[in-house]
Amino acid sequence: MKNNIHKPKSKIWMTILPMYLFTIIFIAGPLIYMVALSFMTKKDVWGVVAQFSTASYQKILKPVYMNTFIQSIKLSFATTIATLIIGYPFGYFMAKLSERYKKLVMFLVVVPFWTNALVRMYGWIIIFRSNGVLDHILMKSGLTRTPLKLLYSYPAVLIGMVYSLLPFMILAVFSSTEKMDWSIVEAARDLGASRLQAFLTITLKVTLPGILSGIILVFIPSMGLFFIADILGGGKVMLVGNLIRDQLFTTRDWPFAAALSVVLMIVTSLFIWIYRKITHVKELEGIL
Amino acid sequence: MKDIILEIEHIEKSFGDTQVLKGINLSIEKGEFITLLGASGCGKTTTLRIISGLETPDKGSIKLNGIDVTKDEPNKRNVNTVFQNYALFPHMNVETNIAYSLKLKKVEKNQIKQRVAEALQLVQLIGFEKRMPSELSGGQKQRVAIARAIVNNPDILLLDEPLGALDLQLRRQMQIELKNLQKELGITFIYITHDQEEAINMSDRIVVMKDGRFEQVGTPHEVYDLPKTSYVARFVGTANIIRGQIETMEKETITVHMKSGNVQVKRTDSPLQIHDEVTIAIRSENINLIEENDGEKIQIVEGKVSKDEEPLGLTGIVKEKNFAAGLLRINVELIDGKEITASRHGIDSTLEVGDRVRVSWKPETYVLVDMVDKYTKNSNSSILQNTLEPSLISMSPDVTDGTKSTKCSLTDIPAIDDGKE
Repeated sequence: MKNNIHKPKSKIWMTILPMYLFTIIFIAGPLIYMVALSFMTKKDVWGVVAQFSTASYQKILKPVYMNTFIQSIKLSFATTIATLIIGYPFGYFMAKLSERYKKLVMFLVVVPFWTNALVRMYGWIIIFRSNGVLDHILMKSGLTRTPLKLLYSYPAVLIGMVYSLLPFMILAVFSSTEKMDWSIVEAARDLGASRLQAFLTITLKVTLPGILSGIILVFIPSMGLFFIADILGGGKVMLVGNLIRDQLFTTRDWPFAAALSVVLMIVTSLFIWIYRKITHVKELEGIL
Repeated sequence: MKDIILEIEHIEKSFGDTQVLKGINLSIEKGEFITLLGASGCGKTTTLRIISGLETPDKGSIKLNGIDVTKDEPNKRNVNTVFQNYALFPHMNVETNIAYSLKLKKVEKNQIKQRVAEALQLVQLIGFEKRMPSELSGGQKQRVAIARAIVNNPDILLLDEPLGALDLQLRRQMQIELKNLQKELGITFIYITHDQEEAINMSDRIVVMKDGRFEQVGTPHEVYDLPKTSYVARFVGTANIIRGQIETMEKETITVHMKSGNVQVKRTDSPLQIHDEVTIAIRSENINLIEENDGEKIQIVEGKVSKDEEPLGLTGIVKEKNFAAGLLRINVELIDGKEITASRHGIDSTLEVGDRVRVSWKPETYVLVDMVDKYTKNSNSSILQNTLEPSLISMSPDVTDGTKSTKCSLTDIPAIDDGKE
C-alpha cells in the first residue's frame, strides 16, 4: 500500500520536468535574451556589442516612435470594440440556434482557419482595390460614383484586423452564452423585467466572462499583428509590429527592435492589468 | 359569488405539429390552492407558462382580475413563478436575488431591505443573505426561489414541480411549509406536480390533465372517490379498471358480466341499457378476496360478505404478494388472464401465491367511469372489440413498474407451485 502511495509522488517530477524545460528553453530564455539585447549597443553594420546602453529606450521616446505606439494602441482598441459589437450579437444568436444550425454556423466560423491568414489577406486586396469587387458592387448599385480607394488605407487595415480576430470573440461569447440557463432570463421577465432590463441585468452579466476573455483574445494579438498593416495598409499604416520587423530586418538595429518589443509587452500587460482590475470589481458587485 | 382571480378560456397551443393544449377552460378563485396533476408531457407546464406570459396561446384568452392579459408581456402581469430548476440568478447573492423585482419597481431602499427580510423570515432563511446560489443546498435554493417570487406580493403564485428535485423527507416537510405559507399569505397558488399524493395533500382543487385536456377538475375527494374517467381513476390512487357488459338491470343494481364472472354495481342516473359496455373503477383497498377452498369460503380482507352475495364475484388465482409503504398488494390473475390488485394494511395475509380466490367488492365502492367514451365506442363495433381487450388492468401509481413486476411474477410462479407440491 505504502509503495502504491509513494510511487506517483516520487515520479511526479518526471512528468512536470518537460513542462519546465519547455518553458525555460522556449519562453523564459528568449525573453531574457531579448531584454538583455535591448540594453546592448548596435554595431555599425551587423550585430551587437555587449556594452550597456539605454540609448534604444531613449530612442523610443522620440515623437515618431511614440506616435507609432499610439496608433497601434488606437487600432487595437478600435479592433477590440468592433469585434465586440459584431461578435457579441453573433455569438449570442448562434447559441440560440437549433443544434443543427449551431453546428453549421460553428463550421462556417472556424473554416477560415483552414486557410493561411496571408492568403486570406490577399483575398481582401481583390475586394478592396480600385475598381475591385467592392467598388464594382457599390458603383453598379449607385451607392457611390467614384472608386472608394479603400485599399492601402487605415479603414482597410481595421477591417482586415476585425476580420481575422472576429472568430475568437464569437467563440468566446458563444461558449459563455451557450452555458447559460435561459430559464434565469425567463425568471427575470417573470419578476417584472422588460426584455432590455432582463438582457442588461441578467444575460449580459452572466455572459460577462465570455466577453472578458473575448476581449483579451482579440486585444493581445491585435497589438502585435503586422502583416495585415503591410498587406492592406501598403506601408501607409505603421504599427509597432511593423516597426519592430523593419528594425530587425531592414535597419538591423537589434537593440532597438528588442527595446520596442519589451515596451510593447509592458504596454500590453499594463492594459490587461488595468482591465482585470476594473472588470474584477464590476463582476463582484453584481448590482442591477 | 366569490372573487374569480383567473379565468382561462378555450386555450389552445401548438409547438410545430404537436398540439400541446387542446382547448382548456378553468376559473380560479382568490386564495385557492389549485394543482395541475398529470404525467409529463400532458401540457401542465405549458399551461403555467401561458398564465405567466412566457408563452402566448394560439387561441383563447387569459383574464386576470377580470382584465384580459392574453397579449401582455410577463413583466406586465402580477403573477410570479417558482421555476422547476429554481432559476436563481447565479451572479447575485440571496439578498439581491430576492430584491430583484423590488429594485425593478424602484421601491425605496429601506423598504426593500425590510421586505427582503420578511420574505427570508417566511422561508426561514435568515442569515443566508450574502450567500451565492452556488453555496446553497437544493432545499435552500428552493426557499430562495419561493422568497423571490412572493416578495412581490403576486396575485397568483405559479409553482412548477417545485419539490421535484428534493428527497422524499424534505419534500414532505416542504409540502407542509408551502401549504402553511399559502394560508398565511392568502395568495392563490397554482401548483404543478405529477405526484398524486402531493396533489391530494395540498390542494383545494385538483385538475387532472391528459394529452392537453382537463380530464377532471374537482376537490381531492371528488377526484379520488368519484373519478370521471378511467385515466383519473388510475392516475389518482390505485384503481382497478374493469370493463364488462350489462347483463341484467334491476331497480337498484346492475349486474355486469365478464368472462371471469358476474359483478353487481349500484344503478346510477346514467342512461344505460342492457348489453351496454361499461367501465368500472374500484380502488384496490375496497376489493375483498375470499379464498375458495372446497366450497368453504374465508374472507381475508376487512368488510363482510354474506352468503347471499356469494354467487357474485370474479374468480382468479393469487399471482404475487408485494409489500411496500405500509401496504400489502395482492395481484390476482383472473381466469380470463387479466390482473387485478387488492391492497390492505399490514403484512398479514393468509393468502398464498397460487391460492384460488373470489374477487368481490361492496356495490357502493365502485365508480362507473368513461361514460362519454361509451357512446362513441358503441358507434363503431370494431373499436369496441379493441377496447374490450384490456378489460382488466391492475394499476399501481407507478404504472410501468407494476407491469414489470407482473411479468416477473408470471415466470416465477411455476417454480413456487412446484415447491409447494
